[in-house]
Amino acid sequence: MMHVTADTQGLRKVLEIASRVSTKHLTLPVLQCVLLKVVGSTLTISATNLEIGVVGSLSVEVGGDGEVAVPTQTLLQTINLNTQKHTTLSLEGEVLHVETKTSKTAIKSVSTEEFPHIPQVTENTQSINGVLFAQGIKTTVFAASQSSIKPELGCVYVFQKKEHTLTFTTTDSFRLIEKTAPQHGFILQDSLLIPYKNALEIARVAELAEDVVMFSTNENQCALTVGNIYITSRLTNGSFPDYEQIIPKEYVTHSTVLTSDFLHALKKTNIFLNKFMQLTVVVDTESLTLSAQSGEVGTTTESLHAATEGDAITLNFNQRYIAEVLPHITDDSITLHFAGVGRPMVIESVHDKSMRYLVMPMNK
Amino acid sequence: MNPTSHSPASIVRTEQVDVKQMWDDALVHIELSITPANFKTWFRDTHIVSLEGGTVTLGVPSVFVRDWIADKFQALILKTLRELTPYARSIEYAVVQRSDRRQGSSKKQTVNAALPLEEYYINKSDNLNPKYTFETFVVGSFNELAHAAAKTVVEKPGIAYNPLFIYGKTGHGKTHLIQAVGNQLKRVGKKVFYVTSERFAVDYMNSLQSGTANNFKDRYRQYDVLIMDDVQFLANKEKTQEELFHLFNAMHDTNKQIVFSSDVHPALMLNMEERLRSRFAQGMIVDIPAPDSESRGAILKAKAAQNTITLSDDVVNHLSSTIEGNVRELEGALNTILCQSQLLGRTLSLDEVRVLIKNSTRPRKSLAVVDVVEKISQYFDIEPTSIYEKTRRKEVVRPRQLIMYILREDFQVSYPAIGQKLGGRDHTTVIHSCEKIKRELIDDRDLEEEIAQIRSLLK
Repeated sequence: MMHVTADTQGLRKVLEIASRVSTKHLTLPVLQCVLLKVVGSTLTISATNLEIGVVGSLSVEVGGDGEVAVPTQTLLQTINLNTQKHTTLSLEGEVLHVETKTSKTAIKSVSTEEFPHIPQVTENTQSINGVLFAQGIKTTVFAASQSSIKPELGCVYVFQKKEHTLTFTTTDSFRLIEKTAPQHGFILQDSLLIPYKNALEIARVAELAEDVVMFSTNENQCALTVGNIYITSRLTNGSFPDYEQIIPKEYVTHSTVLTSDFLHALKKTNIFLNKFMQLTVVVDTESLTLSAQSGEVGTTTESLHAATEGDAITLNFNQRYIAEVLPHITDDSITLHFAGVGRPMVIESVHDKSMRYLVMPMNK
Repeated sequence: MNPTSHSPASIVRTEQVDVKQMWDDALVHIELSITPANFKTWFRDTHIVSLEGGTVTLGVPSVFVRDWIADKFQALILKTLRELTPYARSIEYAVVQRSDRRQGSSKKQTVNAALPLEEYYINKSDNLNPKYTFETFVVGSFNELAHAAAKTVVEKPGIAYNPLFIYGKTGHGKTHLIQAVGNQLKRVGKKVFYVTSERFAVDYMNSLQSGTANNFKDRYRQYDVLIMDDVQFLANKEKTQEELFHLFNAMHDTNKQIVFSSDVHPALMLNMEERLRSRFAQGMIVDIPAPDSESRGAILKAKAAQNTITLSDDVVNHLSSTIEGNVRELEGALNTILCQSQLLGRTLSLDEVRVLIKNSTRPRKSLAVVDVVEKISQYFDIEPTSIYEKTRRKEVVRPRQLIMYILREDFQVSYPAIGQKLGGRDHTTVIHSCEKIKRELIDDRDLEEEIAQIRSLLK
């Protein structure tokens, strides 16, 4: 019978990641559980929601093999409140005993029979810079489509545009963001479409990296191994739209403003947005004027000092689409490129050219 | 169930028609044997992809489901399927996400303009455009041979003609034909890869720079069929040629089919290594010449049918005689007509078509009659003045008739006006001449060639 002692801190770390994956599942209640399995001196903790699978392994003091499934939240909360350095897990019949020097807990277990396998991806394994990989995902994930009608738009599109880099793109067909992050020596043969929710979980694991992160991918799955944690996600098959062609090649107007000014103005216009969140952007030679008008609340206009090249132009945007990209810009100034009326606007930071954000204006 | 009641023939039918029905029946049985929760979780979104030689390929939505079903339900599924068809022997799994998911009925408020994102029409794993198939390929006398060669390759890939080398001028259907070969072979489960020579060269250079040349080699060697378009662009790229040479040998030795296209015969490829050229010539070289007028008519009709519009014979004849050469130009003219007739909501008359495509036909109206006469008499090496004279010498009559025909067809000059400008002839004479040329054109390839040359002079 299973009886092992593990490091409380290590257990906590793995269970925290597992708990993000274990979710309520109507037809398969076992998915709310983690599977604890002891073979020799290794304890593996698995969780899955059939989209993502996580496996964490810990070395434990040997004390008998065995496996048990218990509700993830219950176990995590218990371990979180354990103050002692070591925790002993033991199985007696259907009950998992969680004990420390000072506490004794018994948790009812669930049959392990129903617990799904977690796919092991072993193909195309390479080391990857986890922090940069995570950054690519976290920068772009907000613009992925939330709707399930077009599954390929609900994904982060990862591909290799240039060697030694990876490019991450998302779009919901109203705006599009492209981020290219260095990834030295990494070779990605086929592009990946990672469902955005899964991508976010992968990013969370990838940035934990203190040591080498290994990335593997096959036709249907991708997987990341960070130290003792393995996480795998299904990939969407389908193809991402050929978006290069919609990025304007020529612009009529460029306007550069201070990011902080721009943010400040948006905070003000935010109060007066109508239900379409319509923001009017007027560019002329010296200034960039943002205004919003709501029938119920009133109107506001903010003029910013701007360095402008090209023709004067007036366009309406959904403010949310513009505001959402700003947290991802660290530069102190940004340039807005306008391609004309009814055509997309491109936001770029002035110094950092690794990111492009494209947003369509409103029709009226 | 009596197994002998199934003849093999009935199974062949089952493979095609009834797999869906069969799986639905199987699901009913399976549903009864397992818990509802299990059934809903694992069997939702499953379907039979194929049934071949007793192997049922089951499409499942993810790897999780695949592993689980294979582990827990394999025996049950096999047992159930065997009750339905005694020929089911084994089960394989394929992870496929079904694309025919219910399209949400959400009509979004389209206040915000959407990005004009077009989906890739091209399959990225093999670069093939599914549009190009043998079904949509119009066979005429000019491309019969190429078509037959391609068909043979499809039947015996790697054995019949290896490599198949197709050459011809732009717009004659090379890409369509070689992609059709790819699409057809893909249907029978071959690993096909279509690449333009330019892409191949760029890929190779990139792999050299990033030090992954071996990777590159392995990637290309895994395919059963390699289709390379426009190989002439490899001229002067020595390193890439060398790589292609090795790839060619590797594939040819293992009887993998290779298909090339180019705009010139391999013998005329300058700056291409001799050993590569001779290898191109090793299998079958076939030319797609310019389509003749009859084939152009057939192509037009086929394209019109694809676009579900009907063209009268007059229109087809007019188009096929005025737009020569390139199939792409024919398509362009057809699109113009299609667009206009959709706009007007009716079929267009010959005159309307004539006006509409005036710009897509090469000769311009700006040429004066004298210029036409001069050019054509130059072509026939006679005195331009003799055209206007009353002489009925044979070497003058023929050019004169051709001039009348060209003036009428390409420049839409009226019959009386032609008569008058060419030395005060009666308009019936002009009509007679035009009709005569038209009649002769139907089966005289030389005449057609001649007119094509004259038209190019008048550009």
